[in-house]
Amino acid sequence: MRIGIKFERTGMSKFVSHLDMQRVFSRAIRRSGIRAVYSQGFNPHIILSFAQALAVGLETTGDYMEFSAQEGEENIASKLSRVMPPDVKIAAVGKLEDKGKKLMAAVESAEYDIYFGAGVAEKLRAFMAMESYMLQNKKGTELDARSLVFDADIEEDHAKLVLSLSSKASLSPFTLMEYLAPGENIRIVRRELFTNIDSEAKPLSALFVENILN
Amino acid sequence: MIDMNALTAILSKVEKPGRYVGGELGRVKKDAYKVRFLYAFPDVYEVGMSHLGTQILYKLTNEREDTYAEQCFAPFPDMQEEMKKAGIPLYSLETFTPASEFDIIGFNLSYEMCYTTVIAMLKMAGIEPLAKDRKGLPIVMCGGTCTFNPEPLADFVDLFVIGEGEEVNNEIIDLYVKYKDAGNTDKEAFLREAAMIPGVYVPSQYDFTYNEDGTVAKITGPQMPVYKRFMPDMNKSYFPIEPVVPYIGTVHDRATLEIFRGCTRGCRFCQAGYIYRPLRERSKDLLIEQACHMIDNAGYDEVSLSSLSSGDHSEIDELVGGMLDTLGERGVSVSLPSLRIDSFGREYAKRMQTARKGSFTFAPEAGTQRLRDVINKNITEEEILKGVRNAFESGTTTIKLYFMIGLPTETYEDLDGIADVVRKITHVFYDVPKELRKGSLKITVSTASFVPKPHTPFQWEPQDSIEVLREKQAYLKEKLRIRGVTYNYHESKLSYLEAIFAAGDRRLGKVLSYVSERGAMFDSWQDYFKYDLYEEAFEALGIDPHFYANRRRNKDEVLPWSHISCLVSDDYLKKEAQLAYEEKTTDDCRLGCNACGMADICLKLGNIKKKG
Repeated sequence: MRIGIKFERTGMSKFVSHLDMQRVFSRAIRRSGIRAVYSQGFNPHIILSFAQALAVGLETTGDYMEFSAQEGEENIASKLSRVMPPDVKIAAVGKLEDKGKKLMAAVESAEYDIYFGAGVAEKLRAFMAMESYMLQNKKGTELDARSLVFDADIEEDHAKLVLSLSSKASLSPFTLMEYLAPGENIRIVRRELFTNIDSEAKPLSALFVENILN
Repeated sequence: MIDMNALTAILSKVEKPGRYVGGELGRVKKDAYKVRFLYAFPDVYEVGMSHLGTQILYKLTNEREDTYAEQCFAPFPDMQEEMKKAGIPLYSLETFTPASEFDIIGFNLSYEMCYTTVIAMLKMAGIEPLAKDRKGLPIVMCGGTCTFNPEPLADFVDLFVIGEGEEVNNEIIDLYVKYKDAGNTDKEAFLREAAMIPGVYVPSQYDFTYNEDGTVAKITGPQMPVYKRFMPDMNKSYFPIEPVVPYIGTVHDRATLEIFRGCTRGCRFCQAGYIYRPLRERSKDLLIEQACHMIDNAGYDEVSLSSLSSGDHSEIDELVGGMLDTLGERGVSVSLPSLRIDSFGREYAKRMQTARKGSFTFAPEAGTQRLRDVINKNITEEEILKGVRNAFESGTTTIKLYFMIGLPTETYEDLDGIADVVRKITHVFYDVPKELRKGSLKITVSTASFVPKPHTPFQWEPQDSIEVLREKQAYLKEKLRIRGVTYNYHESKLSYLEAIFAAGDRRLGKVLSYVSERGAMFDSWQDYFKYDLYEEAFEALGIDPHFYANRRRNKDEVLPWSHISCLVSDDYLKKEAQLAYEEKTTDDCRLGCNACGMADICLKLGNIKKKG
């Protein structure tokens, strides 16, 4: 039984690395008593995967992971919610189509809230008015950042951006802000991951074939 | 609280920021309390969070309604630098409170080479490192193995706990609460009264005089000696079944159970074997219950059954069997650290199937039977070879072997013995039928340099000089040029300093001050170990380090730790030292009391039926 989990990671736990987040979830599943599907081999471990890697320092209220529970497992949402560390919370749980795409392969874009100080809003507006804006991502690849920003709602101290996030092209909000406003104290919260269903962006939770409320 | 914005800003710049943020499952939150107690660990988070003693005391102290115990660890140099730039002092992980705002700070001392880190942490907290310069709070205390010779840190610490801390920490806090309730802020008076608590050593209340030759003439003080404290009944003693579960990977990333305290083997070099006496077991049923709770609460996939020699638990077969029956189906594995070579092939070892991990670690400690008899490592070559044969037959191809060099009475024949044993082990491997061998043989031989430790029969021994140790290492390097064999050895400069501080007196406080002022800390981390600083300090202060490390102490000398007692009698240590030189072994004391001085206690505990 494929289970999708939407979760939040807030507060100081944003400084936990992606690898450590995997450990957080496998331990939580083991604490919960939910019987999960384990890998075969010398060191069996719970098979789980995240829809997106979580960069160190990124807060999120809308990320996803998936694992497989044994058939017949019940009360997955409440069992899991009870055993999470204080700053990592379960936001929603749902069944995923057994033969469906991995969440990892379904993600196309992500929405971020970006909080900043004076002067940054203008820089963002100027950026949005451009036709293209070339930058180098962390791996050193040249990207047209402007074409990877799908939507922007800019206010004086805060902006909502939808950025491309897929195996084809991704733009990190950290990289973008580093270019536009270097050295500024900026807080970034990921709010939602989107997939495309009939060429329309839908939250990843739209892939839940059944919501598990308890 | 420290400036959280400033902290958040620097955390994105440092390595592994998860070390510095707290918030883990199981970390204690409290709103109302009278006393703030900070458990400080003088090493990084990953090391400190793996320390069972700290975890026990942290949770136990928090059982008190009147006290909030928090934790902090040593920030790594990159973080230290950022904290300094941002003006952030050392802080606690629970409430981000500066360490200087606590009533009591308790450091754990597991290893002599952490002393400079203790001092560095005090400085990072903005606390005067020298006890005499600290007028008010916090009270600085230390516990842990090294307090059995607390003297090198005597200038820096207000009080030391000798032995196990479960009861005595509470007694110290009780006394502190009494002072606080009465509005009494007289720290001197508090320390004078604390100095009367059994197991508490207040260095400022003790006087040392010295002979012309530099040895100690006399020690005087309120408790002569300070007897160590210990928990008599492990089945009633507190154990944290709701541990703090780190976000980030730690050194021991698993549920650790303590299956017994003490060890009955009596290896003559091993300090733990003497200071943790008497033997006290936890029952199999309680341990299995604790393991289940820990897995439920923590979600680990491994349970480690920890002790000084885990195969020696009287119910070990049933214990391992029971653990596997109960937890195996939940994907939880069971591991036994510190197994003796003669336990392999036994029922529980087979059931653990540790062979699937493909690697075994053995510690023969010495290369010849003669030297193994000297150190009382009661193990024969036959047992060693049988142990490795068992391991090879069950599919192991990687073996780690630990030896010590520089042991008392050692000659080059004993070093040849190490090479002989290793060679014989390779022969055993090639004797195993080919179809049972899974791959090619890899043997890693590591040698540590012998460090004479207080409260052992070898406490009077000199350490080999650095030059002699290096010659021995070079000799072994040649001798161990055997196919499939890798040889590692410990840095002899580090072992030398370890010997100096293990046997040191309070005059070494000046050396610690000197090197600390010049940036020494994290001495046990190779990249940060600054040996030259120590050399410079000894030179500048006119202190002869060889006096501490390389001198044979006289049997009737007053040792700098004579005022501290681990309850083993001096006469027994002398007798054991004599037997060592006669190459005579002493049996495991479960086979009959050896009269180490604790017979009355063992009688009460039921370890022995009548006095031996």
